[in-house]
Amino acid sequence: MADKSSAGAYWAANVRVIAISMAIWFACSFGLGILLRPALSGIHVGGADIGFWFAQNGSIYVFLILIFVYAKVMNGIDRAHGVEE
Amino acid sequence: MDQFTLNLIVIGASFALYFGIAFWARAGSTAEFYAANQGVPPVMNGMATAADWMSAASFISMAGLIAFGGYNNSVFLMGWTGGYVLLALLLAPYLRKFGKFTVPEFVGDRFYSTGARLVAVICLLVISITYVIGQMVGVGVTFARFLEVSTTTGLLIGSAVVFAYAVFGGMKGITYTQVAQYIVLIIAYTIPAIFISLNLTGNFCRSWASSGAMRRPVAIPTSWTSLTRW
Repeated sequence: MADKSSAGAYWAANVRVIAISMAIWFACSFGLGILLRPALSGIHVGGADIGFWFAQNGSIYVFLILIFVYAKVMNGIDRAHGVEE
Repeated sequence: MDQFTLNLIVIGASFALYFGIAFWARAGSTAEFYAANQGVPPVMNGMATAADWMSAASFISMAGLIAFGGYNNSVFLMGWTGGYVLLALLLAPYLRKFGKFTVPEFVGDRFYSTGARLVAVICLLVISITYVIGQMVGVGVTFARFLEVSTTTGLLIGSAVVFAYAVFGGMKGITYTQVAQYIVLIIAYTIPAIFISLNLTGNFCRSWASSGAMRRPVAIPTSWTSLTRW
């Protein structure tokens, strides 16, 4: 890590990525799967309403994508700030 | 060859595999014991983590929970899998960058606090004990079925096996035995899923499905229901 401001910028970028990821993480599981399920009960996916699908299936796909995207984005940020392994 | 002999051969072969891996991967240093010298390839690590997810508790009870509870039990699915996202985002990268072996070590050093370390240890114990109780009940039930012993004896045999390969092999041994378990588990998950779907949709060789061959009740050996042999 080069200097203090670079370290601050790196951490800010890191926290931003985490915040966005956690927002998606919450929205797709607790949001779509539980809170919004009654509101979305008209929409059907594969024979079940979309809230049920998100609770049983969809959120897990989103989690998988999140982890891969997070790893890729963080590697990019690491490289941009010169702290990659 | 009867069912019991077959069980013994299959279980013996998988135990031999796990012990073989543990012996091959035996640890020589602390870094090797806790972190396999950071020498485990990412895909192998992923397979081992997936085997953790698909462990006895999920294999035996998750399917039943979802089948009987339906939507209400999807919290378990989301919670178990969502936890991995938390781990990947909030803990794993920093643990790795910090170069410590265990979470309490990391928490204690990072926050310069023995109190925080103590809290981490207590959390760790609560989580581990809850997890191990579930897994060990699963181990006991499974071994009792396969080896036709009482649940307690099954549990003791299972924990002895796990203890042996964990102590000899350290993290590398555990990781590679889990890779082997991953392959076994993914096959064991996929086969029934495929055949149940084929059976439900009738898409698999219609004449066979309509002949009722797949709907014929399976004769359960009496030894399974009367349980113990010894």
